[in-house]
Amino acid sequence: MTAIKLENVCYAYEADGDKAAVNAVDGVSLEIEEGAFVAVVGHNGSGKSTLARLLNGLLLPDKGSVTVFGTDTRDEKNIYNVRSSVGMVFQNPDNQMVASVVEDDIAFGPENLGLQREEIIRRVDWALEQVGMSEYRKSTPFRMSGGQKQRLAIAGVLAIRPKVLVLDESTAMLDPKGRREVMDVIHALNKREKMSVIHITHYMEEVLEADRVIVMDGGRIALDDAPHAVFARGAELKKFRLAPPAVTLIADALAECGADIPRSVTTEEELEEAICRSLSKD
Amino acid sequence: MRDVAFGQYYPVSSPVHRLDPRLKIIFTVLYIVTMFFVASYFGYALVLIFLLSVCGVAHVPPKAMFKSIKGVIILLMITAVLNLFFYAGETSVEWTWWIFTVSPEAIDFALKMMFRLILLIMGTTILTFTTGTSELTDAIESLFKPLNLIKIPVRDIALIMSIALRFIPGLIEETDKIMMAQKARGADMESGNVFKRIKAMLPVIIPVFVSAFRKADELADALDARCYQASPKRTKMKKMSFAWRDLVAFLIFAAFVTIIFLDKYLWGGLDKYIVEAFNALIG
Amino acid sequence: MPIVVKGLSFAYGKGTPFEKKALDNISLTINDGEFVGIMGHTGSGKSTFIQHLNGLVKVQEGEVEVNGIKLTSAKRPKPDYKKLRATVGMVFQYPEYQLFDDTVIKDVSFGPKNMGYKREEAEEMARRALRLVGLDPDEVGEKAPFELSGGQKRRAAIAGVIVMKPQILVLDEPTAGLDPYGKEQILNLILRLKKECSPTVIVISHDMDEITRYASRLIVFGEGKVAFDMPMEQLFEHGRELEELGLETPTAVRLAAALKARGIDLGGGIVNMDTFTAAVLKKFAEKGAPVKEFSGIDWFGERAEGGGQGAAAPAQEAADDNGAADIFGEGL
Repeated sequence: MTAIKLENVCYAYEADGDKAAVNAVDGVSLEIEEGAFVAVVGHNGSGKSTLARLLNGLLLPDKGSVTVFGTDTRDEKNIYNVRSSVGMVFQNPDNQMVASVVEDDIAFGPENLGLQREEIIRRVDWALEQVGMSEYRKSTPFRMSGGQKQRLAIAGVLAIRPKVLVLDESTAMLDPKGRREVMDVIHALNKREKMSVIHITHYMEEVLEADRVIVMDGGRIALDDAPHAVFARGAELKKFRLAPPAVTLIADALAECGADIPRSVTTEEELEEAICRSLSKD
Repeated sequence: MRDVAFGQYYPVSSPVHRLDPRLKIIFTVLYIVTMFFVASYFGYALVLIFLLSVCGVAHVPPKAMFKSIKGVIILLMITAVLNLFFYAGETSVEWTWWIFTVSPEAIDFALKMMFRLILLIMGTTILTFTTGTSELTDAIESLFKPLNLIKIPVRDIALIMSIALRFIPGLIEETDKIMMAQKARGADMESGNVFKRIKAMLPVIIPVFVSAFRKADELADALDARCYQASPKRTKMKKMSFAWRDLVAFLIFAAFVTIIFLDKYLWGGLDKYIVEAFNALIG
Repeated sequence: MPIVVKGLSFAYGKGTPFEKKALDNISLTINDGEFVGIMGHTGSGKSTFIQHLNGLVKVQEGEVEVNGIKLTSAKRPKPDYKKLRATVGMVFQYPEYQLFDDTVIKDVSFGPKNMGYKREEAEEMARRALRLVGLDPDEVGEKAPFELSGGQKRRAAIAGVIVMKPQILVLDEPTAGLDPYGKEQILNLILRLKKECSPTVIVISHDMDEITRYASRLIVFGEGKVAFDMPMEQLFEHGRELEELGLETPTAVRLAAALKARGIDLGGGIVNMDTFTAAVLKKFAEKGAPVKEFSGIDWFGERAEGGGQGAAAPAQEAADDNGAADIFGEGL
């Protein structure tokens, strides 16, 4: 089933002084299936974040339409249905928390929805368990690591029980360990809870873990394919200011210098295999 | 800046931490009022013993409580000195040196004032040490609920307060960072007169402002994304309810207040008996 | 003159109930002309350490000496902070957040003005610094900082630091939040600054694959101590300990180990993707396969000369074609 459908969506921020309004998102059509794990990449200013904010009605399209499980995001009456089906996690975990005690913060969403006390408690328990932070229920996030804080931010969103999780560069400010923690959590949610994940990132290693990659450029979708296929395009990626992950970079350099190695290699095992095979020939 | 002890939550589990926060706020208010009825050194000693016992039960090291005075020590000194030399009440003996005149009554008054201020600060610190900001705002919200009747959005105000409190440590950190960045570029914020210093703070204040707005922007999005204002009737996860421990705390506190009042109105300040006993002993 | 640190310890909130040890008996020396990478997880003490190099935190225990300026816990003699800050340039994380003045040129000349230069002199220095970071002072100089694009802002902020021509340049995660091309540009800029302005460079980074290509030495912090400070090749033999500190070994090192397990020994000296690629190509050449000469991985085709332990990349002294490569393609 289709979770989110965009049809020819355009969005422009208001003109700023002498600068004319330019479409930040410019005629995007897109369907996201339930249970999919989609990575969105693109250089700074390519329209990724604007796209993300269109998905849950934080921004409404100037032209075209965004439909979330059959509901148009411009339908004012149902905007909270849209927001509770599409949960959104942002870049800086410090700017997403409203309370100084973990459980109070997680409860914020369900409280806004006007749920019963018992249901709120159930959801807080469940959300904390999903991100592996149950033991921190009564703690204060102030002194936690970035990875832990971002997991809590995810829990805060999970408590509204979304079917789609959008992460807007949520790994950008974390160290490698924190990034791994967040990636593990969202993969588990995708597999176990069949939650759709839309992950916006600059880290190509994270892109490799997705089922599908959307490359944004100038507010449009430049590429939309499996990670493997996208990175196989090699030099074409430069146009979009992207570089493939380390393994592909090495494979490409080897191929460039005349070694018999396929350029589209994306995993260490594949590259290892290719080098072995190529060296043991003749 | 990170050393500010006043207003910090001390995250441990204790009977005091678990008390109903509304009760703690009421206690604190009553405590502040009671402090103006302390009549004798015996009374101050009793208050101190009371505070130390509360610290003990709350698992907060008394050292942390005493630290809270550090920030206002200069203020305390100034009031003490002013009280000492500008005492306007009746005096028995006067010792004069140059333009300064001191009397035993002035010393007595200045000392009592200082004790009162110190104990006031220490007492209120116990509230912030043992009560999280969200508990505090919840309690305030609950205590001010009647204002809803005259259409004051108590809930929203409480949320704003809670968010403001939550962002303070982050903003302090941010200020620290930007201050370092500008110092690294040779900015001098520690010398010169007041005007010079204020001007020297601009390269810090402007970026901190910009950063606060950026944070607010992202926070606004995060609030919306978490369905803020989705339902006209927000619910609450935490129910505040009276427990037996609240009753016990109430009785202990009532006993404490009673002794202070007895000391003032019935015994007329126990000090004079102590002084008499002391005189009898040596004389 | 090198940086010499002896027995440096530091705790936040010393004497309060919230005391937290950040540095624990650090001793190390950083020589002139080095490109040092500093790694470690959040809270490992690396940020506190670099703040010491600029006298931004007061030494509590031990001693720091930078270019002959001594910092100790003693109140007197007062170190010459002005001189220290002109010697050590500090680029903090997200440096664009520190921009404050109403024009770029004024902001960049903030440092020299603080050092007592006259306005004209300071602005001339600012113009030079802007050119050095690849911005055109005539084009952006009179603009307000917020009118610049994200990447330009970061470069302007870096200009505001290197404007004093510091001999030592310290950068805390200079590529954080940038897209791949933006990262490459900033890293190239750092190489260029090392050659033309600040011979000693210290970079805090979280990206193993990236930092190993640029740095000539890695120092790993863990729990407030120097966990590792040894030649890179040796360092990567401690894969498990690095993992415990939240760090990975570089992709290239893992690949080399895997190949070795399968009977292909690439030999020593493999610390990054350049050295790895060169070693594999050498194997191909030994087999008689027709391989071209390899001069380092350069995806965007804009890499400046003088990387760290690059394959054929020469050391910085070799690359002296007055270095005016227009790395940002925006005209100098």
